[in-house]
Amino acid sequence: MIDLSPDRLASETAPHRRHFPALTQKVGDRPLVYLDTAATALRPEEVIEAGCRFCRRHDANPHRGLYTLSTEATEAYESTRRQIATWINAPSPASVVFTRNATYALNLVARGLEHQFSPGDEILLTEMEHHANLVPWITLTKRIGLRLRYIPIDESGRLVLTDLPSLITPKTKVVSFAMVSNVLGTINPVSAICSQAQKVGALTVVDAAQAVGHIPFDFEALGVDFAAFSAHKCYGPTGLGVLVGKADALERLEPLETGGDMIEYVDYESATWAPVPERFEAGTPNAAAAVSFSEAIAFMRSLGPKTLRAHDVALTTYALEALSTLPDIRILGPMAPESRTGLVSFVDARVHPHDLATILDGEGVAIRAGHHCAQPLHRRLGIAASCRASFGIYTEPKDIDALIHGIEAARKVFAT
Amino acid sequence: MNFNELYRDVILDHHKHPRGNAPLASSNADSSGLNPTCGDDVTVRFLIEDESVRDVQVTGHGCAISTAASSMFAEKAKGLRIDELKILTERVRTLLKTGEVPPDLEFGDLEALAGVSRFPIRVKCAMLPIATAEQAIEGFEQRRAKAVTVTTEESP
Repeated sequence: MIDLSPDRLASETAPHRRHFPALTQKVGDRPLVYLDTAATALRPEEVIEAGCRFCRRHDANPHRGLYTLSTEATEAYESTRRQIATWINAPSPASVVFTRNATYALNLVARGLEHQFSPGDEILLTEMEHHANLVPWITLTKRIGLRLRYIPIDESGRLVLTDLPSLITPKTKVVSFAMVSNVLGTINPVSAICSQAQKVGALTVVDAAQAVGHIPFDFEALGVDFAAFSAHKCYGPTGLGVLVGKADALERLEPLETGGDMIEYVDYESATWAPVPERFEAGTPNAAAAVSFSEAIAFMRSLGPKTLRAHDVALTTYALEALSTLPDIRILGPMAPESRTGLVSFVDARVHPHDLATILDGEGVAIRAGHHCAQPLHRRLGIAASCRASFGIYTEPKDIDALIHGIEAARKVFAT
Repeated sequence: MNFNELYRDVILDHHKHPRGNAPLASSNADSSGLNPTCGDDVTVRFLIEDESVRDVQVTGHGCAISTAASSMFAEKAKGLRIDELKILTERVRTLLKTGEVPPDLEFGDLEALAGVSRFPIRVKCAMLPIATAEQAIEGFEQRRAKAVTVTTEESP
């Protein structure tokens, strides 16, 4: 049972907040209230310091030099890979591919599989996808005549799985879907979808960008072929994403980029590829980011998945209740906090999302306003844009109070 | 950032009571614009006669800045000659970029958009009706030029 008293929540959050230097700043003359963790989580001091330390000491190319610095850089980079594998229970370190971000990881899957598709093959997505898990497939569809199909959502923002047996057919080659919606917050039933997909031999891909760091994530237990996520959404640096894959699934992918570090043997006429995962990591990697992310993982592991999840649920409960007290607010997604992660999107019938975000910014409150890279979902919901407040381990009840206060202030400005 | 600079009273007034959105009986220079990042849309319709804007309608869905800019623009555009309208839209672009009111033009309420320049992320909101109007006029002139060319070629 979660104790929802704001005082209790605030006192539990206080020690976490001390890790985040960004929280000490002011926006104009107001203390920063950061409610956009679903876009980018703030970084703990340890994470920032680890990146800096690498730059000061080991700033050399991993995998290249024979000298000490390069060897240290290689070890630092590869140890993060091993750490990730342990953390998310990946089959092996080799099943962890470093990318620029989750978007690149999803592109790598879609385009890396292109040579395996034939016209008429079907890809199954959902109506709640982020553009990152939509546009790569749309692009493929145009090139090779694939058919995209979609698992629909219901009015509460949950996937409707009753038609799944008719949506997944022998023509289905890939089922790719968000583990958590970045707009609705809905946690999707991964295993129910995967078991259906496996019956027809379709590959399964989860966009786990909104899941990792929020809900327990165990790659092997999920039973998917691929998962993608970004470091910067779970207290790590920008510029680093991860594609995790089963060994045989990764072997089916063609590399997206070629060049240094991804080869085995090159002559003037031909080249052979390095093994997985180096095959997918052409060029000098973002070693400083990887080293930095290592500290983010340590930070999340020190808190533990239960604490991360409980904090999300408590804040979401508090936010849903607070927003529900305001008239003319439409909350998107399921109303049960346990069905969602720490983000709440809403539409204020009285104030346009962009006007609301601007006025909130004047109060020091940072929220997201727009379509959150999910235009089709917004159209499906009958709206052009929405506001989104999202939470991290540093979010406290008074941040939500500031949001509510800001909404009330905006309403006064726009009252007719 | 003080948002009173952005949401000046005149802007709020146009947002709450938009002008220039009544349907036109006929129009000959229409265009629609969309801001993909926020989903705001605007449709501009002009009735151009004798090189002048006889009538104008600006409609759409959007934030206070884009609806106010639409309303203020519609109010100001009516009665202008095409060349004056082009100067106006160009000067509004400058106004939104610099925040300084160019001295050589009577802006009317549009002057209130000067505050938008301090909110770079919102400039595109105010630009939506302006850019859409420019597009409508450009289309009108292209069609007219084409019509003139065809007429010349067909003459014996």
